[in-house]
Amino acid sequence: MGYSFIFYKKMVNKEKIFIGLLILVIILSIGSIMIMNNIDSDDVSEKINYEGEQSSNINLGILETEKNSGEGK
Amino acid sequence: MKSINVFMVVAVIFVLFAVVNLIIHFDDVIKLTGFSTGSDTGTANVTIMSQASIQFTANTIDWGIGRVNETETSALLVTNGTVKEGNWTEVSTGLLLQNDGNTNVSITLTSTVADSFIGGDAGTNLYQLLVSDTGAGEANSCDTAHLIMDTFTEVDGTAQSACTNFSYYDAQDLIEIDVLLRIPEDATPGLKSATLTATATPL
Repeated sequence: MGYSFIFYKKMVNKEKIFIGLLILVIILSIGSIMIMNNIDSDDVSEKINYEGEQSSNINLGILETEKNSGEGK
Repeated sequence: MKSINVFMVVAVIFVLFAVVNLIIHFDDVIKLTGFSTGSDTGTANVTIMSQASIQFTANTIDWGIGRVNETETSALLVTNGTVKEGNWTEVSTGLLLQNDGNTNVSITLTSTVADSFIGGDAGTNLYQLLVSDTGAGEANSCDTAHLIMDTFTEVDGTAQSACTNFSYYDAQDLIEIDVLLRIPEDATPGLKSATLTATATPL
């Protein structure tokens, strides 16, 4: 009686360990699926195709011409 | 059905799904890691990413303040030192644009039209650009086959192609952008300013 109880207990522990391993496999599978789906090689190509842009200025001041302003001869 | 069997079935499904997912995304993983296949020589690979980068080493042209001579209908200003029929300060060098990235690029230039920038008679005012790799520029920065704006070209307000292959090599990575303005005698007095934007696209 005592021997069969110990045997039954061992079986229960083995089952628990097996179920635990299965749950671990499921979690790892889900994790790998999520990681793989987050890998996006387009991010790399976006950096490669970066566009550079720079600005410059062209300045001048225009005074009234003398004939327009009435300062001429 | 025992719960352990249910777990077993679920686990198998997830593992199969993960394997299929790995196969689908295999190309992405290869690109991301630079993983090399079919080699037994122990070669270390490094990938240098290309980066398009430009900068104006001379980014301002300032002719100061002046007026069209009394007897003339317009004045001509060019960044080769020309000031005709006016008394503005001579400017003998244009804008200088350098390719300081590590890849050849194409260049477009964008600015406002002469009517907005200078004003006055629309048939007289001019705002033109010319790109060269001579003078203050560096020879072979943009060879003649790829130099689009090799004559004075009127600015039309859109992104205009200037050079389709601007080199990044040292001593061959500098172009000069000359500016030509014709100011009509009836241009509204005041300070005038135009922004010229250069855009580089990697080849």
